[in-house]
Amino acid sequence: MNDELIEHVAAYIARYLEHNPAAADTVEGVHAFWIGAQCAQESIDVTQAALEYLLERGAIANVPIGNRVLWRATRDRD
Amino acid sequence: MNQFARHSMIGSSAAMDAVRRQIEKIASVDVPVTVLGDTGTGKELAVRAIHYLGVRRQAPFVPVNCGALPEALVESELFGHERGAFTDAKSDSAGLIGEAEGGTLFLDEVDALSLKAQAALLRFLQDGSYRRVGGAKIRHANVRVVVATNANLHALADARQFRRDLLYRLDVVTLRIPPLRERGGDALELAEAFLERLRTRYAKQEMHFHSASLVHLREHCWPGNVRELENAVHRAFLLADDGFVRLGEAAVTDGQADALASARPFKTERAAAIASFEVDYLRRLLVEANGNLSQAARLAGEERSAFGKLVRKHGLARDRSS
Repeated sequence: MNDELIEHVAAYIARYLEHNPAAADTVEGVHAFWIGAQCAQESIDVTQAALEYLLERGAIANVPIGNRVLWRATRDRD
Repeated sequence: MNQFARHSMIGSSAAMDAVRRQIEKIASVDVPVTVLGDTGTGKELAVRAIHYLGVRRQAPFVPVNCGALPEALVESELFGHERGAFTDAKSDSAGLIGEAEGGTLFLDEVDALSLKAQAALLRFLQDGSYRRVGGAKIRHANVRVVVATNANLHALADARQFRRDLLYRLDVVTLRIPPLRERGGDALELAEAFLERLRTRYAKQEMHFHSASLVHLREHCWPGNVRELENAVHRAFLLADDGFVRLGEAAVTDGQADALASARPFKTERAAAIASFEVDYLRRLLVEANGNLSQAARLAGEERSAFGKLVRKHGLARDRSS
């Protein structure tokens, strides 16, 4: 997968959370509503990779919800 | 691209138009909602649209499939637990209600909740209060609860498998998502949208539907609804090796396809080509006329009644001219 594209989408996610620090959603919601129409034309796999990229850098957190994962900004209690 | 289109709530059928209008209304009122619909109709898409169109859009959207939660852990998952509440509770957990604070908690397959979990959910819906498993403190959360099911909750209540008081509490606003077979030509529109995404995803702009696929898209009843359609297009896309995405009769092997092509009557081929042209032409005109049937008929140089009949034949649009 294209690293540049992943970083581009990751930047959109980070910006969204900067403006909406309380937001949280699964990858499907992040893909459809957080990253802008142009990025959403890319595969949802790119959004998933971008979320994992941000998670590795400690920029976001994830929470298991049943058999899925919720993504959100890191909080003090994480 | 609007929020609905981005979220696959595509379709110019009257049924889908009504759903989108209902979603906009529901998004503006902060009450519990029950979403009904067969499997694969897009219930989660509809609930997410309600969330992102409403005042809670900047807060969490937490979708949970109640059927996927282990029965013994349902309450702990939903309402959280205190450290030491049970063997594996190594630390405190806010639970999904806590995660959804300020936002929307979407409980899919709500009929899968045990009667005990239903009682806890009812208490939460009554006054927003709940208690973590193993905790004594009464907590409060500001969460909009939306539930979905493809079961008949009234029948389950009659059979004492679903609490009637919870049913009444949830039954404030109901949104029914129609099955694809009731959505006229939406299957074609959705298929085109899925194909466009796949072209981008796999960088294969040359891919197109085989003409016979269009007939199948229109005539198949799609019992698995939008999910079945999306999977069918994806599978056919991956199997295509000549630039044509084949569904239904068109999806037979090359040898069979050759035999079929030579055996297919001229009238059948012509009907498929005409139907495909009509759908493309009508959709283009209706978009240009902003859904106004009279204006679209004028642009086409046709009588309004004959034009309207053709539009209805393909289940394309609701008349907005009156």
